Amino acid sequence: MRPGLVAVLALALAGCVLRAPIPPPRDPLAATPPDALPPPPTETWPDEPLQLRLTRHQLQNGFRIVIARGEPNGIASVAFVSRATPRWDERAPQAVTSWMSQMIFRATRTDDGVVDDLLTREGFSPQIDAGALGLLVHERMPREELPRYLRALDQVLRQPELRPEDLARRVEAHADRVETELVGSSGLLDDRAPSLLYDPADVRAQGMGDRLEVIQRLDVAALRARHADLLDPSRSTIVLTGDVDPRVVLPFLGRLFGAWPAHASTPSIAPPRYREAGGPRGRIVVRPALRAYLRLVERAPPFTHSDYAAFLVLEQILGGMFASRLNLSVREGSGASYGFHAAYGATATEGAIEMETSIDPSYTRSVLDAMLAEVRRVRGEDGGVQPAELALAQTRAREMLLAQVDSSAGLAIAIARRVQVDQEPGAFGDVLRQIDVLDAPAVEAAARAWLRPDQAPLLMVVRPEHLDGVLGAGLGSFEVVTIRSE
Amino acid sequence: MESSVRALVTFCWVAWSATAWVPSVEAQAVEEEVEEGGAMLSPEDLAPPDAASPAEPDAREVSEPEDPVIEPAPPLDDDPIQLVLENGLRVVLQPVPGRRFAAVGVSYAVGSGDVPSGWTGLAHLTEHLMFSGTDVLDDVAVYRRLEAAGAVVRNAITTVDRTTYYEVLPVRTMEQALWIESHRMARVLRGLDRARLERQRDVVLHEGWERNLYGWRGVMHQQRYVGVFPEGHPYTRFVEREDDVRAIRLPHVQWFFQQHYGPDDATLIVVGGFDVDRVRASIERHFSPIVRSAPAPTPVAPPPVAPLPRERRIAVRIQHDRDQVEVAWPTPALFDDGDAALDVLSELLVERRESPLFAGLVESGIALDLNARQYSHDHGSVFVIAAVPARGHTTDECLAAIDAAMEQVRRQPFDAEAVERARGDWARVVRLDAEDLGARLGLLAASRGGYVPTVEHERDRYLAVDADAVARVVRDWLPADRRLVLVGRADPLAPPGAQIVSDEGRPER
Repeated sequence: MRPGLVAVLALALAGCVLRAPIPPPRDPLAATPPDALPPPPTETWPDEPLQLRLTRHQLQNGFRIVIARGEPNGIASVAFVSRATPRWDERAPQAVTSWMSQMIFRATRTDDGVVDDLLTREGFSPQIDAGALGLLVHERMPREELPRYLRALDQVLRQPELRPEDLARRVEAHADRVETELVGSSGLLDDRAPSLLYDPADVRAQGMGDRLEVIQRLDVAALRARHADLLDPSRSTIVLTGDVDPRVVLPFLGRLFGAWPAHASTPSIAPPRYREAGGPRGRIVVRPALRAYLRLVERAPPFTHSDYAAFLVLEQILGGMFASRLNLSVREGSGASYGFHAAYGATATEGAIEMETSIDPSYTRSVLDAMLAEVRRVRGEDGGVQPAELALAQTRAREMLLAQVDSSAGLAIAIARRVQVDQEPGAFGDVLRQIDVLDAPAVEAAARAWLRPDQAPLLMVVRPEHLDGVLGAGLGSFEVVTIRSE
Repeated sequence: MESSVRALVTFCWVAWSATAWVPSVEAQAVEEEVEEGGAMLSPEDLAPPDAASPAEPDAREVSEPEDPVIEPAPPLDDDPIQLVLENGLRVVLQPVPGRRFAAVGVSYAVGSGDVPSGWTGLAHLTEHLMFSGTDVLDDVAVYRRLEAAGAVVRNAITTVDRTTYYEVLPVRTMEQALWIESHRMARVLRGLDRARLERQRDVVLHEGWERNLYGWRGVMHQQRYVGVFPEGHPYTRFVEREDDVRAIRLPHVQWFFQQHYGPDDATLIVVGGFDVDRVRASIERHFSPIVRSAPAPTPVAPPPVAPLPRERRIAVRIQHDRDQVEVAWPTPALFDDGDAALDVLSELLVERRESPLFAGLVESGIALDLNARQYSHDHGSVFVIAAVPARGHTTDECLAAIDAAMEQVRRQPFDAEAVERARGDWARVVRLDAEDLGARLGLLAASRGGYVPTVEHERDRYLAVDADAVARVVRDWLPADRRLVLVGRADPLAPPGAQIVSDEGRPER
């Protein structure tokens, strides 16, 4: 064979992928006769109501205890709740004080003489959520570990050894992470999102970069002040759930947490100040990426608002459930995306709802239009919320709540969340009832009260060739940041 | 290409409304019984509030109440009920008293490692097509029926070894899940057509891009397995490639389904607060009529896993801001001797500030991120130590620190106390997963070689690990000079695909 021909063949073969041959399928394709299969079930099986058996007590120093006894399966869950103000002073947004709270959990001197995360060293791995509601520390364990965990938790909370060298090292690592994130498209959008929603005078408006500057100026005195906030027994509660005998644990809890010193009361957090109209509506990162990304961020009712239940349902309709119209259309219908998502989060003072999707860039404008059209629709336009989808969303919202409390861990967190906002421990029963009585007009009214399709902030990643289409859609003005890399 | 998604949304609404089926699911009542705890306390149980200054809480003295006596719970009686239907379907029933939800799942003994060479993505695409509907139900109806039944989790996972479909839903509506799983097993093949294939191919590709399977993450993943397993091993060819997914046609999927989705390829697992007799009757009714569509393929045993003959070093260029470095070794398969000891070792290496790897890399400031993990699979596992250099540091420094830490571990094995603590942590995690219905279903789905991974069996497996076992796996399976070193060199401007820069120590063909 001539060398030139060999070269051509080699070049051609280099572009081919060798695949094993696959034989054709057998005929008939499916052997099971369809008429042999029974029809779908139409009946439901019997069930019993969810039962809560609660024991509660308040100690002399104000510390509260709630115990919900569950199945005797050997597992118990503990949630410690502090309703301390989430801001140590007006300069620091919640994200900063969250970071500071995390520091406290890594600052206990152990019996080995090491200053470390005592709970982890003891074999525990609690979930620590230092959010705007306050601090929530949750762990589950074999029931016999309860005394050891509670004792360690008490030591961690009461006796942190806050050292400048530990603070310096963690600040350095945090700065490293943030500076890396801020050069990527996700970081650029996350950094800008708070200032699009909140008034510049509200510390909630600070972005990742601003928060980093605050963290870099922290000193041990600031951490101590934050810690003093957490130690207020009048704003603290322990929730125990699962295989727990109140008669056995209550005296121990009383001795342990009853020794916390009484505290001067601390101020509550003020409600947010939202940004007024004016200024850019959002930020667009332009890059030659394989995927476009769309996110809508909007204010939403706080936990204690009468629209809370409606928004649990709206979350499902707008993308929380797989059968939401947006998810079915962009994923299963047009094949534009892996999925469309919506998420609603609420605290005592504020809430936010996000809708987002990552898509084939050629669908950028059409999916953006569809997303905003859905927001209009749930406000009552263009047919409004339909009965069948409302029923489905109510079922989802209801069952998500019930599934949460089907385990000791979920129940502890659900009770703790209610305690954090001064609700009765078993108040989720009220939420279930509120969900069930909703009708389409009520859901639409709640949507109209909070969702602004013409103003809700938008964050996007788009390809250069689609930028003009987005900017020309009459959605308002946008900041544009260009990144060269894919 | 601009398509009218808005029109499609409207179409979906019309179709949805016309065919909507939503069962009447009544609101669940919540009954509360509240008692005040004061009656359970005596004055001696309550310490008086401390008068010390609240500004210096850490200066207070600690009160030391005695620990209450709480006995450990007896071992769970969790050997499941196992049976096999006439058509070969294995059934595993795990009742969990007191739970109002149930996890229903079907696990097929086929994974991404079972696809023919050059057809990566075939198992994953077939998984997606299981949700695309049947000859009588479209995909919308499948999802809607599950969500209308109150399914709070609805997912499917394709691993190298198996593909598992599962839902978590209220016990009162769980028969919907049993019906849907039986319906899909029997009728998806009849409903497959080119339109559905194309639609799900798009979704699979989107997932691949979104999860970075076709980007740097997939590159590193692929090279890890290529570097550790011998040529010809199914684990060297499972990482999904975009062009393979695009090459799949309808007959390929039909063939694959016939080969691997028969009732005797599957295990039906149910975990939760259900009535056993009612569920057994329902399973018989819905699954017994199903038969295979083609003879089962003859299983081919992959080559056995053994330590590498020499060190292999692979460097790849990746589209990322940060370099990555991994050291990896082939290790015993899931549940085989040594597998649990390697899990325990992973904790001993990184869990505490003074742990050898953590101290050497993170405490010293060399690494920003560090991980040690045993990735366990049916036909061989991989033990991986992975690090991301901190700003101002290099992969060479990370590698030197890893080598120094591992040399320390070889010279000075972990003592009994440390091993006891680490194995206790693993056993503990397993014990606590008893509350997680999905986790228990996943555990039972991994059953192989006659071993049924119940909570108690798994706890015992970890609690049997001692210091000698840990020292042995380090000696036998993690040699210093016979391993894979994989370096990802970050270049934000690099294209997304694989770019192997060098491959030293590659076995000769």
